[in-house]
Amino acid sequence: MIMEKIAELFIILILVSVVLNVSSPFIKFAIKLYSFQSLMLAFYILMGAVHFNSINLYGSFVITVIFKVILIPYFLFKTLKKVKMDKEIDMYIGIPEAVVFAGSLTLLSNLIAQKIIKTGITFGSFVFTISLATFLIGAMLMITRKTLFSQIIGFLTIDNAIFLAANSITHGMPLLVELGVLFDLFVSILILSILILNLRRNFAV
Amino acid sequence: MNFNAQHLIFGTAQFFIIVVLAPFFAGFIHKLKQRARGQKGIGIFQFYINFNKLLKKELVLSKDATFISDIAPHIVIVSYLVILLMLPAFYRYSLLGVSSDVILIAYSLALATFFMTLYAMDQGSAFGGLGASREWFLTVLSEPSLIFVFISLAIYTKHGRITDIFYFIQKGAANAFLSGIHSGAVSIAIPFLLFISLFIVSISENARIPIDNPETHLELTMFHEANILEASGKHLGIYEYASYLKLTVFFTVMSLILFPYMAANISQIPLALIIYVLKMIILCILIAVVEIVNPKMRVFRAPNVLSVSFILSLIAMILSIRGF
Repeated sequence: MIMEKIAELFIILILVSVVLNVSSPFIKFAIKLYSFQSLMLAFYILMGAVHFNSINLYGSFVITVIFKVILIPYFLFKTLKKVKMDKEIDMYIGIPEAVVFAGSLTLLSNLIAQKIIKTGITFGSFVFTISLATFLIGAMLMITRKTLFSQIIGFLTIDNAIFLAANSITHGMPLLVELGVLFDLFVSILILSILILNLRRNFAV
Repeated sequence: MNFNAQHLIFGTAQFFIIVVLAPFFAGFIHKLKQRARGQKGIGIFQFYINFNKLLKKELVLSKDATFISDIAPHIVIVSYLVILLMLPAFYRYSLLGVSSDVILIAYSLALATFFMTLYAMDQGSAFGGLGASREWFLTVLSEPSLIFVFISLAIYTKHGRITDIFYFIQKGAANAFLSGIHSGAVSIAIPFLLFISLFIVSISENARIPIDNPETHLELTMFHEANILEASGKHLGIYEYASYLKLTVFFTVMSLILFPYMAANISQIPLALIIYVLKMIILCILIAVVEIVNPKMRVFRAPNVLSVSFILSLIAMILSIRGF
């Protein structure tokens, strides 16, 4: 009972960090927030691992910490240093509007989650609502931001949301599948960083 | 002792203890900030001395001032005092606990701001109008999140009065954490969200550093100070005391949301009082750290922060409607 409530706190912190990400115009802060968000996700997985006592979930916790909390932010910071792009993030809409829009997306995801839960698929209803909201806000980040670098943050947020939803449905995926997904993500981040560097060099955008 | 007489005595004692402690908390924050900057700093009880000095000084009013200037400071301080009469800081049965509706509390805060800005404009100086305009710019942005915080507290606990709300949270937490009874109504996530939201609002409403800096008198940075620039003597003293009371109101609500411990009888009162003061000091340290770490923000960046507070309270309301 208490474990469940503490797990809810970690999930809420994921949503709070995404909303903060929408409101903040600094790229460095956004990467730090992503790292924090992944750490909260890892803690949520760890609580599941303790609760179900499954070795798969322990493995998943370790992999998440290594890849999402340490490696991906490290590479993003390294790329940021090379590109020397420490300016503020440009958005197509103003920040207060974007934040209010994120709030309305949360409302929408709440309505959708209620409909889906009525169909009888056994979702953890709290986790599913929050992960849907995180997914939609991540998509909004990708749409509204102008530069490639800040769109990557949206992409990573969407990935975290899917990860969260998957962990809410099952008692953890097989370790091999999770390793594959994370490695996929890592490679895509590497490719995107190389792309940014080359774009910078050739077109100086 | 008669039960009602007990409520009367301890409710009155609670009210006077909070009112007397209010300048101490403000002074404590000021002292912490000054020590962090490497200054020696004022004494913790300096604000009591200032208040005493200001009460003795002569009151100067502008020749354009009307009767508004005479009544406004008193309405401001009385509206905060009324809120403090309602809050169950460490004794469960506060004096006005019966009529402590959450909407009433939110609008008493707005009433105080309204009369403070009226006072600023009534004096007929250019700075007054500027300060009033800026004050409302911030208040309009933080008002929705304040109302949403109170309404989601009411929905979450299914009670309208603030004494019942905090007693419900205390009972739920005690059941869940101490005796392990399963009750679906208790949640950690919702109070936490409300706490963050209220923290941001209290920074903006109490003129703290990322939004406003009340220590300077530059016209560029004046929000709160521009309103009371014309005040002198007794009026200035009342306004400063009112600002300490406002800080205490916000801190008390925050401490009650996160960790409510209210005494129900005499034997629990000393422990409850000690816990209350400890909670307040921790909150003071928290806000002092925020003020030391952050630089003053550009004025037009304030809506970014306050919109986050609004959305977090909205999310808390959605979750409490769903009944998590």
